[in-house]
Amino acid sequence: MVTALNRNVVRDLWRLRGQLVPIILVMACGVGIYIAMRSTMRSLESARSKYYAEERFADMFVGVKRAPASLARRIETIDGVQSVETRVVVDVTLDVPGMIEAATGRIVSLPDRGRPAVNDVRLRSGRLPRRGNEVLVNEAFAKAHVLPLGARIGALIDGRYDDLEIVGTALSPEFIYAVAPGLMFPDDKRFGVFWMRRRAIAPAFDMTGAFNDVVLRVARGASLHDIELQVEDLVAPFGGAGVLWRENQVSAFFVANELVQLQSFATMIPALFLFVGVFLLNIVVGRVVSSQREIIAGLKAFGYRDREIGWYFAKLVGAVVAIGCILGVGIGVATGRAMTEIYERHFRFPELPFKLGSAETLEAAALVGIAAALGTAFAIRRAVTLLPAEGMRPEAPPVYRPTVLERMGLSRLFPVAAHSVLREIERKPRRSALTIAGVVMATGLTVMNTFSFDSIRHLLHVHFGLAQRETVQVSLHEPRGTALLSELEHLPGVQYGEPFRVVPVRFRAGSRVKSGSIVGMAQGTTLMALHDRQLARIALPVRGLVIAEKLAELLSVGVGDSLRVEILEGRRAVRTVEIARVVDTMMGTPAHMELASLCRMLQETPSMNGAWLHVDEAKLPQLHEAAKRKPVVTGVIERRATLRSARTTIDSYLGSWLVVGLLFSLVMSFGVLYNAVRITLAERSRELASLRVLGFRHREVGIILVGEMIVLICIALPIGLAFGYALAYAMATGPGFDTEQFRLPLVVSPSTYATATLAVVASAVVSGWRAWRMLERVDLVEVLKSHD
Amino acid sequence: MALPQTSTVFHIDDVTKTYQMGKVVVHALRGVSLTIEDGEFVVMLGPSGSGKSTLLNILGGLDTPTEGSVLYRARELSHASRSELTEFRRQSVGFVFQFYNLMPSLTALENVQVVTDIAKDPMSPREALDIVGLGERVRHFPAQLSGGEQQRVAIARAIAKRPAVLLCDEPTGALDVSTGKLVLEALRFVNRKLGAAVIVITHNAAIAAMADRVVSIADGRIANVETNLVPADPCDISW
Repeated sequence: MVTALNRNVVRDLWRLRGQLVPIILVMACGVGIYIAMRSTMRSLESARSKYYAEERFADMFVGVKRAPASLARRIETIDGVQSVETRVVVDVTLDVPGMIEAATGRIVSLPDRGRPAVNDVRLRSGRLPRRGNEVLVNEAFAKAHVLPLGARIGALIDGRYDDLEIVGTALSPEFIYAVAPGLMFPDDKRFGVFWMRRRAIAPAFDMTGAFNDVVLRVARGASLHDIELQVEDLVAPFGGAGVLWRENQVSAFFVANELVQLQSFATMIPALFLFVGVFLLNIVVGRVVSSQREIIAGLKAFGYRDREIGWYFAKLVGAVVAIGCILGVGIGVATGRAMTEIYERHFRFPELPFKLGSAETLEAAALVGIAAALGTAFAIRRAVTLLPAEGMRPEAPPVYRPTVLERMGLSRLFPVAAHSVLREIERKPRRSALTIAGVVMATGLTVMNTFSFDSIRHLLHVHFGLAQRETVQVSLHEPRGTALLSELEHLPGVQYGEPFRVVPVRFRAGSRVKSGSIVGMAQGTTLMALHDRQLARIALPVRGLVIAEKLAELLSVGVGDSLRVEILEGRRAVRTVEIARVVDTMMGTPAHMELASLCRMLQETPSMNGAWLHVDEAKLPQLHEAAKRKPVVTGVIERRATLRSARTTIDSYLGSWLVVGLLFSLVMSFGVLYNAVRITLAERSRELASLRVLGFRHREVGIILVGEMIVLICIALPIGLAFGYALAYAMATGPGFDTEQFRLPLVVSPSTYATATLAVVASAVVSGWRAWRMLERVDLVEVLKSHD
Repeated sequence: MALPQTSTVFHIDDVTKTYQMGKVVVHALRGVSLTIEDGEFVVMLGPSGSGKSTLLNILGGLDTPTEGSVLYRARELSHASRSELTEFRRQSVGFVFQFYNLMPSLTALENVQVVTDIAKDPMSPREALDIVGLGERVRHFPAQLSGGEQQRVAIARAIAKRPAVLLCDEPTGALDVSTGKLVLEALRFVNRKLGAAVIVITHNAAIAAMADRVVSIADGRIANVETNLVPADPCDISW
């Protein structure tokens, strides 16, 4: 049988619904985000490991200049190496139907028969290539260009223009996050991956009986260091460009890094919601206990035991937590699905099903339960320890006193109504402080959620707006004398050009080693500029290296130190170069050097393997057309198009996060403010209605009602914005954002602060309006009769 | 029907008020007609549920009649809009409630000032408090005042706007006899000094002795109207 007291729990829940709904919503959001983020993490992790296992994703990637096929046998015999696949991997210029600019294609060879032992492809449509120029293309590229099976794409393969015939679309664990070399964001229109049989591609690149790329899987428990050393020894004579472990492979890195970022968010955001939810619960339960003193005393007088009273309130809290959790699971599933959809658009997994994690759900429920118990323990204890006789006596009337401002003699500056508002705030410092804390967190959450948008846009602006100034960047098939520049300058529309030389190297400082490259550029180059993080222009020293701070950090070196540079091409010379300058950069771990000085170090005559060109934009189509037919040119990257595409990617990716995040921030600020104004209404409705009886207009009374909220918001907003900046700082310098590939600059734009402010103001308007309408419905006649 | 005199504050004619309470229709007032003159001290007596509070609410512009007319001076209130009623209360009526209804966060002076800030020709808050004998306690908060003192602050608040009429709902209902007398004295003083008509509703028959006129209400109708030729002094009343 349902006891009368249990029935009353239900009635109390219903009676207090106005104050409990925001709490439930805030808790549900916390639970939902926790479940969504953690479950998505698990889903991503399990999709990744399944995919990596099924397609035998490589543990190690090694590039060589040209090695004989027989070398594979020797690599296979290294202790701990499980399987080896040698390949021909080349970048080519593509002429895609309907696209003026050239796209970059990466051709990866498949064994002549069967499927690769390492880095297999997942066929999505069509079939594997059998002969000649048949290719598989990565699904995203085919979709971006709406290429049907049987479509043909022109490719400039080692100076010969050929047609590639698409016979199937595929995915590969190597290209879950498919980015063109040197870029951070996928651009499915301008970068495509093609798989073709080795015999079809090898001859064009003089790779018959040879390979230039080897991928291998190692046995569990094998000594990675030993394998690395042995592989390096084996490939060194063949132009080995260093070993790349899976964690540093571009696609694998970005997938792993996304998980790291998700982990940070999955901890920070639910914690904020949990805190806010619990403090709201603490306030409301505290009030319920105070307002029900007489009832509690009465029940005790009838013989109810203390623990039965405690249990009553525990059930009330438990019900709120339970409803919050149930709703939270719903929010979690919806958010998790939305998140997975966002990931599906940017990470190409064969399947990425969202699976609600039962462990995550239980964890969330347990966390909320414990937090709620701790948050309300004090209030419930008051009910438990209340003596019946004490409870029967009315509570002492609230004690008010002049506020700090009045004691400072500033009372004349404020109208009487303002005194009332300020004294209310000062009388309840704990509650006011908690409301302020809630608004601070909601504001901070919006800033933290939005700043990455500003930061990445800033990064793009610096990289593509300040550093790179060229119209197009041209890369060459192999290093050529700088005389080639004038040939490039004769391409249509080119006004002038500046050469550069990129050379793959391995930096060594003591026991620390790092593979990378050195970019050589001429003194007085105008189409590319080096900047530090403060955007100060860096002059290129005549001698020595300018290296990224991240590289200096990884190698533990500084200005004036000498670095051993092992050149991974040509004669593979080893040189010692002094570090002339360390620069705080945002992308990659670049090293720059004066071109002539670099060429001297390489013992080459002045050479280049790329150029930055300044081009008359009207003539870009002709330039692209001409470049597609120029054998020496392997790629033409149009700066503005790259920037546009990166922005589109960012807008779509972060934009989706932004909307979801903003919704959650709104729930939090609404929860805090609606609760605050509802409590004010509950506590002061009699007073305010009396004023209405005395002839105050609704507007005048309404101002007093929302005045407290307005004052608290005015105090909280600046703190909240500063808190948001601090959260953004913690994020930008934390794991996932301070990586080898990129360092997120800490940039918070005025529009982000404005968004955070607006979110709070919007919640305040909705909360205030609701309370305002409720005040309208307060029965004035009842007020004349009722006692406090 | 005779037109109300210019000295008439209220003239109500055949006022009825019915409420729908679920399926039951409650007749709170059944054809009440009454005239209240300037400066009159009227006590309305009646048991709970007699309709006296409904009548006070209608006079005070908190409610409108179902039928009949309510004239304040020459203004018809029975069809006034909510904002017109607010203006009426703001400028013309002073209220005194059984439970004082002061703002706990404001001092005595500020509680009065709340009203003088919005009135057209108010007296100073301090003057109003002096009238009720609380000139010394202006800086006290309600929680620091006794019940009687709080009610006197409420009276000061009601009279500070110099209203034409003071409506008092059981003003001594929450007070003991001696404190209640002080409050009644204050009301009497206001009535005599300021010339405001005072209407007190109560079920305490003893208070009737100080009225100029006593209107007894029962079952939604005026049962009896008596005129006191020599109203008693509040200090001579006891209950």
